[in-house]
Amino acid sequence: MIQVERLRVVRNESVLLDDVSFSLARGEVVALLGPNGAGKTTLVKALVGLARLSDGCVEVEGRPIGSYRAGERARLLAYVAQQQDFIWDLEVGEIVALGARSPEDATHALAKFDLGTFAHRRIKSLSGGERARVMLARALAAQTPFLVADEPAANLDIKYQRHAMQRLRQAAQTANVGVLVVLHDLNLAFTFADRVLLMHEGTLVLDAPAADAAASLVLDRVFGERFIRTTVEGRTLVLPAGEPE
Amino acid sequence: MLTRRHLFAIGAAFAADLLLSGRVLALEDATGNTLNLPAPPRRIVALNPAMVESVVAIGALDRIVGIGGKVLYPESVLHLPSVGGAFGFSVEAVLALDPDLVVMAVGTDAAAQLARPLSEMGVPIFLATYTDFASILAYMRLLGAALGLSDRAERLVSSMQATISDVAETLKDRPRRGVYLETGAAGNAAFQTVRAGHYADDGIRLAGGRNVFTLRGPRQVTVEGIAEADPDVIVVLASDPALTPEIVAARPGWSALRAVRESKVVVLPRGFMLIPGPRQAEAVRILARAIHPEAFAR
Amino acid sequence: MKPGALTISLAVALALGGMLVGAMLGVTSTDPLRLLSAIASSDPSSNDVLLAWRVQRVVGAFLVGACLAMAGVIYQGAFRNPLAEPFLLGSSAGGALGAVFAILLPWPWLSAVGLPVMAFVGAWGATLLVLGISRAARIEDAAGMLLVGIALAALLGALRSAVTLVLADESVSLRALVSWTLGGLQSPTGTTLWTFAALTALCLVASLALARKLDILGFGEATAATMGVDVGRFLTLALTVAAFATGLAVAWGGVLAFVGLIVPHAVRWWIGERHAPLLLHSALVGGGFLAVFDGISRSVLAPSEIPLGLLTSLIGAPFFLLLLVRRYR
Repeated sequence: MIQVERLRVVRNESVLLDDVSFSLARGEVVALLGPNGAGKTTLVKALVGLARLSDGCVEVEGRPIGSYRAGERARLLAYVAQQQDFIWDLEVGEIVALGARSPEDATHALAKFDLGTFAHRRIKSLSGGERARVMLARALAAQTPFLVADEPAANLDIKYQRHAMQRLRQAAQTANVGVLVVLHDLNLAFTFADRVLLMHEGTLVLDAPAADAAASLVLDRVFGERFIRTTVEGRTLVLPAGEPE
Repeated sequence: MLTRRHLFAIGAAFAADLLLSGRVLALEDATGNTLNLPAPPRRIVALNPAMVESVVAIGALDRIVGIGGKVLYPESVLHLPSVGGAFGFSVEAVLALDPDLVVMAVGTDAAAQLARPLSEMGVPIFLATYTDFASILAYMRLLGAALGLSDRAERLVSSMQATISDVAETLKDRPRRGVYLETGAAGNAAFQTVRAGHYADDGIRLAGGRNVFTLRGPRQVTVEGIAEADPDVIVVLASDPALTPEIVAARPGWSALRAVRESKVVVLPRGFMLIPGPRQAEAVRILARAIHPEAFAR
Repeated sequence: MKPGALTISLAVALALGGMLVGAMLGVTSTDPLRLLSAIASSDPSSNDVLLAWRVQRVVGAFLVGACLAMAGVIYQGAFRNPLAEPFLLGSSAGGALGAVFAILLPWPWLSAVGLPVMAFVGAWGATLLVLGISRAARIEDAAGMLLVGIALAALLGALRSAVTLVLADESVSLRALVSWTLGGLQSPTGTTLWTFAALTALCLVASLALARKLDILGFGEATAATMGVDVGRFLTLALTVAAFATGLAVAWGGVLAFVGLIVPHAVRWWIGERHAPLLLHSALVGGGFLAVFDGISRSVLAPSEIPLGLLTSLIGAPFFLLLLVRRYR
C-alpha cells in the first residue's frame, strides 16, 4: 500500500501541491486526471522521490519513502517518465533487461508489448510511440509491487493506447501490482481504471470509483467543459460538448 | 647568404675599426641591432648567467648596476639589485637604474620582454646570440668592443682558447671516443641530447670525443638508439645532485650498453656545463677529463 | 557488430597483435622469434636485454592505453556525453604538477619516491579533490563537478607554471619536462610492470561492476534515480575508479590526451553502446593501438624518439575525423 498524507510541494513561492492525500493499494489501477498545470506530474515525481516535499509524507508499505535506499526503492516502485531521452543507443532488448527482475521477465515484457521482433533494434531508430512501449515494457519487467506511469499513452497509436492500458490492468490483476497512471484521455481512464483521482490547481478534488467519477459534475467544473455522458455498447462514454450552459 | 658567423665577423671588424679610429662607438651586434654609444657604458644591466659572467670576466664588474634572471655566479654580483627573474622582467626596474647599456641574449625571456620596450625608449641594448663554441667567443669580442674593453675581451678569449689548446695537447694522439651526452631526462625516459652546431656538441669534439648522434630530428632518444650508437663514454648532465653513475646504470635496458658494462658513465652538474659564457672553456676541460680520465691522471 | 565471442577474439587479436608489432618496431626491426628467445633467455646478451626492454615497454604501453580507454568509457558514461575524456576533472593538471615537483624540486626523498609515483599522486589526488569539494558543496550532478574540475585545473596549472618559473634554471632541462607533458612511456619493468598490470586488471574488474549503472545513467539522472542509482554516490565512485586508472596511465605514460576520447568512440561504432562489452573491448583495442604507436614513436625517426603524445594527436586526430566523416555520410 502506498499512503500519501497531506502532501505539500512549494517551489519558488508557488504552491504546486497542497494538502494532497490518497492511497494506492496493490492490485488496483488508479488513473490521475486533471487539466495541464494541475500538478499531476509534480505529484508523480513526489511519489517516486524526484521532488522535495515541503510538507506531508509518502509511505510505501508502512515506511516513509525517504527511508528506503535507492536500490530498495527501485525494487518497490517502477516509474515511466513522460519524456525519455536516450544518450546511449542501446538495443531494445538490452534496455528492457536493465532493471528486469530476471531475463525471463524481460522477454515476457517484450512480448506483452509486441516488441518481440524489436529486441535487437537500436532505440534511437524507433519512433516515439515505439520507444514509449519500450519504457513501459522495461517498467513491467522489473516486476515491482507498484508501477507509476506519467502519460504513457501520449505518444501511442490508438490501438496501442488501449493495448498498454490492458497490459497494465492485467499486471494489476495477475501480478497484484498497484498501478497509478496519469492520463489525458478521460474515457481511457474510466474504462481501465478502478479508481480515479482528479486534480485541480494543486489539490485533489475528486477521489472516487471510475463509474462514479465519470458521472460526477466535478469533471465539468474542473475542465471548464460541458460533458455529455452516454452509454454505447454497455460502456459509459464522457464526451466534451462545448461551453457550460 | 649571410650566416650568423658572417654577421659576427662583420660586426667585430666594424667595432675594431671604430675603436682604432677613435670615433664615437657605433656597432652592429650580430642580430643586426645597431648600437650607438657616445662613450663606453658605465651603468650596465646584465641579464642571465652567461651575460653576467661575460661582463664580469671582461672586467666591467664595477660598472654593473643591476642583474636579472637566475644568476648564481660570481658571488661578487649577487648583492646587486635584480630587475626580474622567475616571474618576468620589469622595464620600470631597468629604467630606475638609469642604465647606459643593457646586455641580453637573444631567445631568452629577458630579451623577449625587454628588448623592444627598452630600444623604443632609446636605452642602448646589446643582444648576444650564440650557437656553437666559436660564436660564444665571437659575441664576447663584440661585447668587449661595446664595453670599450676590447683588449680585455681579447685576453679573455685568448685564455679560453689557451685552455682549449691545453686540452688538445693533453689529448694529443689519443683516438676520439664516442660520447653520448645527455642534457636531460624525465624519470626513466625522455632522454635529451645535443645536435650538431650546438656549443655542447662542439665541446664534445674539443674534449676529444665524438657525438655518437648526428640528429636531424627530435633531440630525444631511447636506450635502443643509444645502444645502436654504441658510445664509449656516457656523460649525464644532471639536475638532481643525488644522481650517481650507479643510478644511471640501473635504468631499464641500460645494462645492454657497453659503456655501462665498462663503467664508463660520468655524471656532471648541468648548471655548470651548459652556460654559454666564459666558463665554457673550463667546462670543456672537465668534459675532456670525463672522456679521457687516464690522460689527466698525473 | 554485436559483441560476443567473435568480437572479443578480434579485440584480443588486436591487443596481442599490437603488442607484437610494437615490439618488432624500434631502432632496428626484429622478428617475433628473436623476441621470444630474448625474453626466455636466461643469460641475456646485450641484444636480448634490449629486446626484453622493448617487450616490457610495449606491455607498459598496452597497459597505459587500456587504462586510458577504460577511464574514457567511464567518464563518457558518467557525464553522459561522448565528448568527455579522462582529463576532465583535473587529472592532467594534477599529474603535471606532480611531475614538475618530482623533476624540479631538489629534495632527495622526492627522487627516491620517483616521477611515476608523484605523477600518480598528483593525477588521482586532483580528481579526488574535485570529488571531495563537490561532495562538500552538495554538488551531485556531473555538470557541476565539471565546473569544479575546471576551476581546480586552472589553479593547479597556475601553481605548476609558478613552480616551473621559480625553480627552472640552467641546471634543469625544461625540454625533458615538456616532453613528459606531451606524453611518453616511462619503461616500467620487472615487479613494477607486474604491479601495474595487476592494478590495471583491478581497474577493469571495478569498471565492469559499474557498467550496468552507467547504462542506466544514460536514461537521465532523474530516471536513473528511480531505477535504483544513487546518482551522487555513484558518480563519486565511478569517477574515483576512472581517475585511478587515469592516474596509472599518467604515472607511466605522461599526459596522452587523445586516447581516452577516441578509443571508446571507435569501439562504440564497432560493437554498440552497452558499457560492459564497451569497457572490455576498449581496454583491449586501446592498449593494442598504443603499443603500436609506441613502436612507431621509436622507429619512424630512429634513433630519435618522437614524444608519444605528439604522435597520438598527429595521427589520431585526422584518423578520427575520417571515421567521423564516413559515419555521417
